[in-house]
Amino acid sequence: MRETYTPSSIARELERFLHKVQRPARYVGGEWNQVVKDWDATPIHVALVFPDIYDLGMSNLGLAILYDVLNRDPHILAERVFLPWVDMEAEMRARGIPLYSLESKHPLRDFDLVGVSVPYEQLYTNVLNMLDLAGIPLRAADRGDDDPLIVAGGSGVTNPEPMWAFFDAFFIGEGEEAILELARAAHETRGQPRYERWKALARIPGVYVPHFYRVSYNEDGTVRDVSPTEPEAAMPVLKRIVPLLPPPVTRFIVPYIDIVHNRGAVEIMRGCTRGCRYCHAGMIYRPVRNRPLEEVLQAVDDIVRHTGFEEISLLSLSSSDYEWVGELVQELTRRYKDKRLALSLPSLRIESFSVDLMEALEGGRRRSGFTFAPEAATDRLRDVINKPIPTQQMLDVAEEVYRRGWTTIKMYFMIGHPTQTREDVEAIVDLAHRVLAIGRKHLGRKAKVRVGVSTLVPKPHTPFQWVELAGEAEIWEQIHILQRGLKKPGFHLSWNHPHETLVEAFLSRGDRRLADVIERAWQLGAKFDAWGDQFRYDAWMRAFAEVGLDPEWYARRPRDLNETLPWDHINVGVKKAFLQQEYLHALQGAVIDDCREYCYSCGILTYFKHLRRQVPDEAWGCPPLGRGKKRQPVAPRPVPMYVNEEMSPDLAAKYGPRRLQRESRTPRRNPTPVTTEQKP
Amino acid sequence: MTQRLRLLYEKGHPVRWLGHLDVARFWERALRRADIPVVYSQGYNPQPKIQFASALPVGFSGRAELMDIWVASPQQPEQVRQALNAQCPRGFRVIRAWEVPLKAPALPTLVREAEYLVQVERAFLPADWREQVQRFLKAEEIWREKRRKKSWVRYNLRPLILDLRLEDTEGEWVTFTLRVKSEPGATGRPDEVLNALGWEDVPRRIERLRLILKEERSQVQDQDDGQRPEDQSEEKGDIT
Ligand code: SF4
Repeated sequence: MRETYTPSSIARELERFLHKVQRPARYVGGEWNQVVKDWDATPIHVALVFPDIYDLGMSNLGLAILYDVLNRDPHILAERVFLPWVDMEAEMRARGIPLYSLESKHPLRDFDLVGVSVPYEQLYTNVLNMLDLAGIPLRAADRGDDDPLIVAGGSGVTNPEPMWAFFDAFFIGEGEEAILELARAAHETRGQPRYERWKALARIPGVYVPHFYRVSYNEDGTVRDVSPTEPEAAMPVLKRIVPLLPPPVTRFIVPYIDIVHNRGAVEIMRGCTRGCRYCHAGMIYRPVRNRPLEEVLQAVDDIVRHTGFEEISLLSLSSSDYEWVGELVQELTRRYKDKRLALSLPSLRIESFSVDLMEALEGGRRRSGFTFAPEAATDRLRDVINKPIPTQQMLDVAEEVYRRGWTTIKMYFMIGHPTQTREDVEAIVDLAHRVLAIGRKHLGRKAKVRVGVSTLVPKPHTPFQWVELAGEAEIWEQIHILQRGLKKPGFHLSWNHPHETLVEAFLSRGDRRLADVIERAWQLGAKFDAWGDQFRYDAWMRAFAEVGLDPEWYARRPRDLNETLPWDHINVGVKKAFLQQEYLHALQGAVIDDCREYCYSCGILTYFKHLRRQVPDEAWGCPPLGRGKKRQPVAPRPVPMYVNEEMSPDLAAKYGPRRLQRESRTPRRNPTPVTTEQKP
Repeated sequence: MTQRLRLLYEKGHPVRWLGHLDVARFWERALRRADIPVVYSQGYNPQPKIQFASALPVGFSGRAELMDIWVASPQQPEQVRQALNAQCPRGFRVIRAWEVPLKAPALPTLVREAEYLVQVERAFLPADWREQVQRFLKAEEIWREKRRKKSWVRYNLRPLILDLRLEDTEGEWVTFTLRVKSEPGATGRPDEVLNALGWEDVPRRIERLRLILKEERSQVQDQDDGQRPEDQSEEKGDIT
């Protein structure tokens, strides 16, 4: 039925109707720094897909990194594929135009490997839409030997199970090295039976081929057992990491249209040592790896030269914790003072040091907003989530922010943390009022507080993975408290709709049976789930009903500590015992320190000892291995720094008074030379 | 020592799909990559000083577009042209660059008319397309709506169309040239002509061949290589 399109016929057909769609530049490529290689002269063809529109896909650093890595290899070409927005999709479907790559306009089907970046779960239905638009069978088991291998990676698939049927394989962890192995394997096995191709993929460390595992269930619906069925299938599948951050991307493709993050980016540090218990990224991106200062500075120079971007963002999960952040900011301000380059440093801790950093970076221009992310409004609840920034410190920093002329403070909170009470929610209102009062004192009516509230979605591989999502009525009640409390001028409140939160929750916490639900929801019209105006809650609920499953059971059932979780056979480098201990700590109100002060043996050094030995001492946040090294002490299990008095008076007495977690710029408290090697 | 340079450039394929703001952003970044010391405005959010003669809508290509840039130190126009071309992806090209007096009037105030080449795919045209064109040309009033900020405004398109000439009616693409008024508040758009003809869905290629400026010969002096901009006129259209 579908006419066969070639790159040139696709290009010709596009010319016929692009004038009818919004922002046609999304669909034609041709930007500065795009890499176009000779298709026939380059043996290995990889499509890199971001399953949402160009505006988001082009803002994704992960995709830019893989594009760079792959295209450096003369035997490989990598091209970009994004999803069309609904208007373009309708045109493409009406004309039977298959999903194609921006560089050469080859249909997705023509590639050896299709690497799909899935940073969050709301992209799942888009993945199905992508396969359908490409004319590739949705289910891996139905694909022919000529179809490309479809492999997912990214933080949205650390629980691959709900999407197990649709991907040939999942890659767990950091793909900078493995993507080359995947590309070669896909190319070398082209034309072989699919089962053999899966085996080739499964031999690559970090790769999970779901069809090589059998899952059985208990009577109550929980997972009984997951077992490999082929010798190639690793059990568990351990994530891959790179020992050092690979060279930064400096030849970013420069978009023509104004995309979400229209700027260059340098990853200054990967991983985080703070140990916030709700934080998926903080668990799965361990260990901390610092990019050398010189490399960051050089990258900024090169990006400006290669792209002309007017803004560069220095990315990490906790920028104030970058080893050389002070020096970095000082040197960048010196170099770029007169060059009109905007530098941004997101994810700063709520400390006065951060205000100094921002002040230096902004250099007197563009005073916009300052962001605080306390995530909970009482000292007690922040003990529970292990983000122990005292309220008083927050107020002091707010004072500093408004005094120096920023007019807006954005505050991010989560509701639905374990042990949360009504008082903890009311405290959000109270804290926002106290912050605004400080602002009013300095700036009068110009001072603003923007409050962003999301509901905790307990994520796999975090200490909160056993916690349930808060009930819908409860969430509404809490949102109403916030709406009532933050009505006055000066405040702006935004919050996530509980229905969207529910979808995110069952998709992140689901098992293999959800694949049917996802497929059915997509058939019923669910796609672009992360876009408020496209979100189709009705489609999801109907799909659950038709498949005969209960969304509440997946999202709102507290899980037993002994339960086999659907994602237990995926190992992100953090041991389940560590997560369990941290979950119990949360319930006790026990706070642990930054693990650069005290290594708690989360598992990273157990699994990646050999990599630790390869790299310089200062390259990782984890203790260096070997005799006579200066390093933080190591505890075989997490030891609390202190325990919340209200919550566990007995324990609190044992561990002593409340202390601050390590502050950003302070030297380590316990740099003890250790003479005998301790086994973490 | 500020200097003002005028650039004549081409917006071709695939960049014809860019909107005007995209084109402006592209040149800003290309200038930065080429390390040309563009003058920036003052204030919290400094903007490079660049001025375009006339915005070219999404989907339109342009064979001879004009912009002025202000640079902080004297540059050789030809070197600027080459440096910029080294930073241009497919579709953009600087054809000529020359200096203009700092006091010369702003480019947009000089534009009077524009000439377009319009092609529509014949297979998609209705059978009576010739009659439609004739009716259009005979009409004295053709009312259309356009967006002005938040509201829609009715305007008469017909007097803005100065000339419509069929150039090729036999090929795969029916080709005609169109001369339209192009002044602030009175700009004829070729896509509006197609829409007025009822050809919204017809595949089209629209290229602006040239902008017709108010006679500015005395002010537009080429001090660089003695070549006057109108020397281009045979191949690139008369731009003064
Ligand atoms: S091994 Fe120790 S230092 Fe490294 S991430 Fe885990 S707890 Fe932190």
